[in-house]
Amino acid sequence: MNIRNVYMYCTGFVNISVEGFFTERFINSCFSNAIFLWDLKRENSTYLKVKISVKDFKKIKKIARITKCKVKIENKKGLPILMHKYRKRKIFLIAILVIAIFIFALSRFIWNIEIIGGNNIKEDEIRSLLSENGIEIGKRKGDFNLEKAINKIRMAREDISWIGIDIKGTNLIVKINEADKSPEIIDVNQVCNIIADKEGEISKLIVKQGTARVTVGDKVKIGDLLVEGVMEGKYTGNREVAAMADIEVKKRAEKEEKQKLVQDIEVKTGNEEKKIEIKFHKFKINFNKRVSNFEKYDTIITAKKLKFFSNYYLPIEVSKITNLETKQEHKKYTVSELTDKIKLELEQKLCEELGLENLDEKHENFEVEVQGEEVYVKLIYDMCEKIGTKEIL
Amino acid sequence: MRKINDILDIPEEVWGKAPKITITGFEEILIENFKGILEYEDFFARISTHIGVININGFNLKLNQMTEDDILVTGRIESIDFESKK
Repeated sequence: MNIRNVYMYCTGFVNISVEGFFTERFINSCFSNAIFLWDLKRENSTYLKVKISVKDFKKIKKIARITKCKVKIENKKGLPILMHKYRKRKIFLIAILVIAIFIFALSRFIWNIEIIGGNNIKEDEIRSLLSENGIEIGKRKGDFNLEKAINKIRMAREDISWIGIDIKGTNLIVKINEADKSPEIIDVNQVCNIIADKEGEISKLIVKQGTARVTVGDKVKIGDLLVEGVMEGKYTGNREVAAMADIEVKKRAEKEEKQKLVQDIEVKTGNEEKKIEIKFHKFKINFNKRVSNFEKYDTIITAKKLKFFSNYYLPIEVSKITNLETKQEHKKYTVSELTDKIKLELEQKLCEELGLENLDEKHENFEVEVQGEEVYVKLIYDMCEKIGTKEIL
Repeated sequence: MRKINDILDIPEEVWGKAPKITITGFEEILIENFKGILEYEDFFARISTHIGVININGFNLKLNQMTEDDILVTGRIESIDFESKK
């Protein structure tokens, strides 16, 4: 029934009212003439409303005369009537056509690059690799060879085991699988020694094969023999084997900082400005031309790309710019406050340097010294590091 | 003729003149194979078929869909009764 309604809407239909004493006769003779009526409703005994298609309406006049009914058009509906109504609004039609063509034209280009996977590979590196191979935002879909680009990227990067590029709508999706480093192949029968490749004091020594020439606590230099590839036996004599061992040395990382008790720090005043910027691909439109009212401020920009559906991106980017006013303030720290602050900063810096998430508190040592108006803090962090390389004899 | 159709299991509304009446809920009744409308009011509809008359009582009755063969009556249907021709 819905499909019929849609069809009738497309071909156009008329709402008519029929008035007369023999309305049933009118309906029956409509049937016998194969005229399709629907949504028939009785208002009172001599008056009914019904819908009829435009084509059939022309036949109805004769029937109405025979059955002595009055037929009146209430209103006309449907696409042909709508077209007729808007036939003079040409600019409206042209605008719709232009928008349709515009959207169609935009859909031929890439407007967004999405990168999935590859936690340890930076997105910027992938993007630059893609642009080297001609895949960039704003490029036409047919302008680059995907397979060629995939192969080139695979060749260029060793840490990518698989890369897939998929185009959905105006969105280019790059999927990356990272490669694990293949393990070193050890030849068990290859006779070798283990020598030190780093300096330090040995903290751990587990020999799997061979004879240890150092003990825990020894200080070693680069090139010192740690484990010899020899097995000593009372009856068998000396046998040559491949030395295998886990050896760790103590390592010390140091970091120091000195700060004044009175410092100028930036404090947010709570005032903020909001601006909106619209970017069409590379062309920017600023809605607020004037410079910020604040003397000093932090800026937060949140950008969002417009899209129709999940994958139909448009080359329009809306950025919200928030300026937060800041001001300088003199702050006087107490000694303990400042030490805590410096300690935290030192820990964070060291973590970044060593590439760790957290430092183990057991191995942390702080040296704190108050020097007049300044506080000096030194962080000493003990840790273990693996040493030892094979020296093939 | 009837025997052949019985053997072949052809439904009666296909070969015969009997109407097929389908009632969906209390608000919709579809009559296929009908002949004409005898009376139609807001609360009452008399529909003639080849084997008799179907009377439909209810409120706000509407004849929704009509072709040469079938008719769909919607509205609050209270009762239906039949008048056989014989």
